[in-house]
Amino acid sequence: MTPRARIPTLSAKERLVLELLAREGDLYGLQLVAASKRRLKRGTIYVTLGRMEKKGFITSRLEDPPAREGGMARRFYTPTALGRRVVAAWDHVARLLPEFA
Amino acid sequence: MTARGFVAVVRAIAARLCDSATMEHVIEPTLADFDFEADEAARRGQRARCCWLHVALAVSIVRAVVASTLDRVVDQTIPLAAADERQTLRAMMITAGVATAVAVVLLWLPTLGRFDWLLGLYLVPMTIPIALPVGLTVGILAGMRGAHPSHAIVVRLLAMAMLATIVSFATLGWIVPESNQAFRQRAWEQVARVNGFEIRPLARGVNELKWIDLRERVRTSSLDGIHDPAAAFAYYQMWTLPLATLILALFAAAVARRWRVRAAIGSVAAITTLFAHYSLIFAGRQAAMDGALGPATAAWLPDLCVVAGAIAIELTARRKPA
Repeated sequence: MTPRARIPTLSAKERLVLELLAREGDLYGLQLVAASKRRLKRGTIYVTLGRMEKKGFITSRLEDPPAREGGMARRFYTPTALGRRVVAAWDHVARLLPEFA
Repeated sequence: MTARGFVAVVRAIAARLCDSATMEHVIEPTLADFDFEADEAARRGQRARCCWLHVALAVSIVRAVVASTLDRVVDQTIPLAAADERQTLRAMMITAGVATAVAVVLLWLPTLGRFDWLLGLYLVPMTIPIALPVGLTVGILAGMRGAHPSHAIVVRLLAMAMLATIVSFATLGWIVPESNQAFRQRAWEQVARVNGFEIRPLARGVNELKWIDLRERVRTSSLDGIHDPAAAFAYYQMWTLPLATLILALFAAAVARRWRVRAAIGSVAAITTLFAHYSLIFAGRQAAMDGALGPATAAWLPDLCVVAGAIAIELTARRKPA
């Protein structure tokens, strides 16, 4: 018997990240913190982003290595099709059940 | 140290603490973003912002390492999508961490300045009835992280609280009196040796009497018409203090079910509740000693107040419009 697939869970922070990425385009971690108006925290944003990548909600790419010597390449994040569908499904459920939104 | 050197040092420390996946997806992006922003600030001549960014980087890395470790432990134990299990495990881990921290502080304070392993060991049982309710209350309120706990989570957490209550009751009723007495005797012998006093066995106070002995003393005092509020209060407290673990957990669960409590607010709410509860215990004890309240009423008052609070929250939650 094949194992039954689980419905993906979406925390409030993950939903906020997906909404920001959908609205603002590709962003790196500190840009997400700034765009969230402090609702996302610098100390935990990267853990959240890592978890979302594992769930398949977002994907990331490293920018080209910076010209300055010893500079590190930033990682930019983009929502995946699954991530967009999960937010849409969540919004749909929230409209049907506003008390749980 | 240059800005780049600082980043390199932080990276090297993190590499010793974290696995390659955490380095790639958590630490490296953190360092790269801060490095970029600090570079921009330095280019614009904003030295203060540059310094502040380095402090923020160090704090962020520490928080990221802690959060990532916690997440990894939860992930390894429980499948990613099992949200209930994750919430329960997180609450249990916070409970264990906070209870241990409280126990360490309680052990450290009385032995301050004269470190003695055996004295510390005798104090361990005394910390259990205090550390468990504190840990559970903070664990439940801080562990939900802004989500309402499901019915299954509440049942599991309350089962845990029930177990903690039983452990606490057994410890307080049978182990604490013996360890308290051993602590007093050893501390007294140390003082007596230094001052050349005669070493003799100390008489037991009310806090050194086992549950059965204390019940007998209260019963005998009552039959003889002797007013002994200290013993009576200590006897009732052997019931109310362990029960506080379950009652405070019930209260915390009611709060978490009623409001979406974020970790920081949850911690503050838990500390406020615990402070109010322990203040009522001390006030009740004083009132019992002064004769303003009966020992039973004074001992039960803090727990009853918390129960009333939990019921009030549950009732308002049910009245919430759909």
